Amino acid sequence: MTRSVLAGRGAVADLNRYLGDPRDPSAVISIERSLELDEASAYPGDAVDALDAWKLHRYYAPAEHGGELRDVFVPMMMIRSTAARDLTVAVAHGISFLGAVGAWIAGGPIAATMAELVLDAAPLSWGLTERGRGSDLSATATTAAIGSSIVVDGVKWPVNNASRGRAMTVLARTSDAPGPRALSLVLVDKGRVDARTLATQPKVATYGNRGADISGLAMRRTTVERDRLVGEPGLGLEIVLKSLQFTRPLSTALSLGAADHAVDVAVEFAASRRLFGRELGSLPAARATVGTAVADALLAECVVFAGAREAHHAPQELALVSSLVKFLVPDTVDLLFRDLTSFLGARSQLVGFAGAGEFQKAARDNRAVGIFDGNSVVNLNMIVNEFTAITRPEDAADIGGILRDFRVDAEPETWVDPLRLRLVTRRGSRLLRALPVFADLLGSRGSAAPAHDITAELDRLLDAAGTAPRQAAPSAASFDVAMRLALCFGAACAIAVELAGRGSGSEASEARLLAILERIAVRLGLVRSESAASSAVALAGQAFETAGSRGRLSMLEGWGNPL
Amino acid sequence: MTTAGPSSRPTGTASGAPDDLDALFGDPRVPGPFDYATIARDDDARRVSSAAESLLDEWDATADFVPASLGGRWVSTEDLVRRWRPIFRRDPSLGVGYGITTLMAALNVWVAGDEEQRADVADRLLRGERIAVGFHELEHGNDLLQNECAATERGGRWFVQGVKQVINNVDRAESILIMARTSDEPGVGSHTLLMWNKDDASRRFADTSRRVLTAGMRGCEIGVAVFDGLPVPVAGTIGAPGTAARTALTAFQVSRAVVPALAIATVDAALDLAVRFGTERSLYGGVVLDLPHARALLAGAIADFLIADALSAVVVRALHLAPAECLILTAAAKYLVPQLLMSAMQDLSVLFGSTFYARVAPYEIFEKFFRDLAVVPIGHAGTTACLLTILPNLQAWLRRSRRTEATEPALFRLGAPLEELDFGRLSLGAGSRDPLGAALRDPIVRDRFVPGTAAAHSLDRLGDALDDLRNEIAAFPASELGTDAAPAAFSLAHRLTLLLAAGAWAGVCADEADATSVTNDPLVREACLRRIEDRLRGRVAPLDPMFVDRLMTFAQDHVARDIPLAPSARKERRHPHVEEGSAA
Amino acid sequence: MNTETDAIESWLVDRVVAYGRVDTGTFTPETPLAELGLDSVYALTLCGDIEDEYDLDVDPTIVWDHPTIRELAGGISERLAAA
Repeated sequence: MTRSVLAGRGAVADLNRYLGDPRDPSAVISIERSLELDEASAYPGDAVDALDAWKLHRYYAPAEHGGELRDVFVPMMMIRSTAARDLTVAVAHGISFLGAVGAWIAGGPIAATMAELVLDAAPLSWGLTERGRGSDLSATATTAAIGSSIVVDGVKWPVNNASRGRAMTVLARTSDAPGPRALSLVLVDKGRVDARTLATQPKVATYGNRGADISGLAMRRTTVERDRLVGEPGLGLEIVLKSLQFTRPLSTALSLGAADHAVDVAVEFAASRRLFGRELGSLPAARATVGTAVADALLAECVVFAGAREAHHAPQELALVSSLVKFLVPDTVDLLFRDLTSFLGARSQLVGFAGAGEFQKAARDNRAVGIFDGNSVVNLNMIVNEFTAITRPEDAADIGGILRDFRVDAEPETWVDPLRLRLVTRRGSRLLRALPVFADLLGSRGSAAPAHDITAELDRLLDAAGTAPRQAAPSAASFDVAMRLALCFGAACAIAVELAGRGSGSEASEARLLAILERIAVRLGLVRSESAASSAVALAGQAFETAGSRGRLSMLEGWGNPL
Repeated sequence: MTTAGPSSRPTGTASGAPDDLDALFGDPRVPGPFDYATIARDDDARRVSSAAESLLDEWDATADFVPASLGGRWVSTEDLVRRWRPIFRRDPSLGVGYGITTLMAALNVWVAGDEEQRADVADRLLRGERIAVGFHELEHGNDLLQNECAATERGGRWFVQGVKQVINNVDRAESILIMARTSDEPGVGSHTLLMWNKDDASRRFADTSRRVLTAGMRGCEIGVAVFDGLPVPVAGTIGAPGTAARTALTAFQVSRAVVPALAIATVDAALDLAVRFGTERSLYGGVVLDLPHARALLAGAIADFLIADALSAVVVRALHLAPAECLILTAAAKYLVPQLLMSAMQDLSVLFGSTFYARVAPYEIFEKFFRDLAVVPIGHAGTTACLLTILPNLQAWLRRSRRTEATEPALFRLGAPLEELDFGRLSLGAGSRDPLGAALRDPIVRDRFVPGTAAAHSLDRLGDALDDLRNEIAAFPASELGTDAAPAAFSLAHRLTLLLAAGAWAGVCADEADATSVTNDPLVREACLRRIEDRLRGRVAPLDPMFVDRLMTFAQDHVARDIPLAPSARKERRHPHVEEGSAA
Repeated sequence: MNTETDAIESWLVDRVVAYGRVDTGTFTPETPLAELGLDSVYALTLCGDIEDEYDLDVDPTIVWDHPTIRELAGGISERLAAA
């Protein structure tokens, strides 16, 4: 194991210790305080300051610019740990990473400028959206006139951190010519412009993340220096689209934290609740429900991990992979929350009551992940747009290469090379291409059966994708194919993680993979849920056992995320 | 007993015009004292509109919960639902907070109270008083028989000791119906219902001041009651000692039917908003509803909604027409209808996207509807509890289902007059027939589906699925249908509820009372049946474009005419200025 | 302009017509592609076609940077020369 691997894991463990037990009211992030702030729709300023004091922001800037960012999975696990305690805090802090990424993609002197801001713990925001324009960035109306200086004019709303942020990376129109080259990115540092030209827009009331500073910034002929362009003029949309390839997998770490939270609550509930004279956790239907939720959480973990690994090892495929990850993880975790809501009953709806009052907050907070920064519809559309690439005659997948890259102790030493990013892939994702071989590699293991079923489904989906008409507004059927392709991708991620793991093939590891794959088969409609019940029940057994020793089940040995 | 139909209601109160709640409230999309913006603001502040509450006071809203024979307005439960729907179309937490839990408490008295008790509760309700349902203990959830709060009798009084949690209106209600343990013996005879009418003398033995906050229904005043030797006169015992479970299981059949039917109105309003949003919001050079995916999402939600409406409406009628069968039917409705409605709401939340998450006028109310409805599946009978009601009755259902040849057309004649509910005919068993399952094979229903058409084929496949389910149940060990049943047993009950919904939908479609209804459209009929087939298989695929287009045309037409989408609502008027063409 | 660029240009004209939004003769190689009913999805399709035809790696940004058939043919030709 390399030194940086140990350093990365050590840092995550250190952050976990620093954050402490959220049930302790004096912890950096306590459940009590989180619920209080959520009820008041108040910003979690103390917790964000505490993360600054721990210097979490250093993991948002690449090492080459003076930060600690090498393997992107390290900050992702930090965000996961934070989100497992309070997703609102994780978003409030992590949003600065999103605001900065454009500069890492663009490179050049602006990256150094941005790194100064990040390392100074300056809160940043990413000014993409405008009122009434939804996810349609090409309709951006904010303008930036580039002369000897740059004059920015327009309103960005709703934008996370818009009011509190010190600087905003603004997407603006820099040319009257039609088309994507008319947009550029400008860094507006509130400390370096005439404050009278700025006006904050009111905070938006939200379903979850109620404390977040989701507000807006109006710029009225705000003048910034010429060197504040992030990338060359006209590269704005391209940089944004490439940045999104990172930020999409990155933000799914939030969902992972939410899933940790939900599973903890469910396991504890099952262990402590008595129903009809028996411990709830001993009733088969309850065990199956908990086991299914754990399977969903483990799938999400594998997919998030794959997103991080592919960012480093297959950036040319990240255009597709990022959309698969960003669709599948929030969708899976939201499903997990909905299933557990009826399981927890009244507890799922209560605020700050009987040790489960944070569940409803985590459920609401998690919905943000699937809605902002590219919602499920946008991501499915991206997958549909990749149908041609996915179905193109394929090279044999380099299984050895994938398994090397997926070893949990094979940590990338450097941050990603942005020059290898593409807006569309040539051959889809190597993980999808590898699925048939992966299924074969499972040999006579029980998990091979669902793996082969899912592979057969993938074949059908590839046929459907190959013959789907190419349309600007794809059919609902194409969206459905995209959704199911994402589930097949999830299966490939889970098998890759399992095969690359040190405990691969052990009884416990096989039981985890079997439950994940059978759950995917259920979600694909290949079998009914009762067929997957016995593997879910077995997985619940593992989860109860692990919880007994104050741990959490994980597919990533050594990266486990103890509470 | 009167046989009042929807157009000739008893007028048990002086205020008159009891149907005009929509007119009294006004259009919620138009600025006014009880518009969506105000409702959303009140929700933020965790209160319900006091203006709306006084309006309901004047309207004698709780008179709807008192049977006409006891001096109230309640004859047809369908009418009760119809009168209360305008509230649920605007603010479900007002509906629950103002009255529904009072109805739930009163039902126990209508079922098991003696003449004097019924007269007393009727008087109280007609005066506008509230009764809280003091049943729930968080530690035991829906497993009421484990409840610990206990009462002992001494010298003509019960003394109550213990805690009840998550009780709506616990502090402001004038009375609390308490379920108390009165025997240490395990089993159904261990608990007794006690009506505590709060008075100055007894109030100091109870603390009802602690409020519990919830994510949905934020306006409801939910709290905790801590009883410390609370005295309740023996005359306040509702039913014989030891009959609490029996009474509650009977009484809750009514609320299990009524609550889902009221929730329909909330989703109806949400669909209305979604259609408007999708037509108004521009995206990628068009509007949201130009995108096939968005259209399919919305159409799927509408199909789920139509199925939910048929099941809930038919089960409400079944209270009157098939009361002995209602244990299973109401459990099915309370299980499946909220599930279908939440699935529809989930799809709509994806459609609204960031406009759902970041609450933006004029659609901000959707976010509240979404949270409020999430409470409905949990409410007083959770999902699992409903399936657990069905499980032990599966074998009995099977025998009755196999011998039921024809269905009961009156069940599906939505809006047709009903006589006052006879609580004595509600049973705790499977009844004697299976009218909803039978609808799938009923010759008249099949005839109306026009044999040879695609919709008829879908109906036949569902009939086959019913046969398959019967065979599976026949082969399933009866000993494995108890509380520790395996997921495979739960799957049987789940699929039964879907097939009952299919029967309800088929029956409603076959009813020829209203030629203008969407239930006469062959494509809509088929779309809903296929949706149920998908759910039986376990995965819902997007509807074919021909179904999508038809469902969208239906929805857009109704929204443009400002009338509700639910076929069960076809006789109700939404807004004062609109006269619906199909009104009776 | 060389013959190779001409050949690419006429191949591109065929692809655009094959997409079915415009008829031959209703546009010139200098008409912006955006005016030919060619949306961003078509840009992806076109990139796939270019890759298959010329064995080149191209991103949809090539269409952003070369928004007419003539310019696009020039862009492809440059990349072929550099390859």
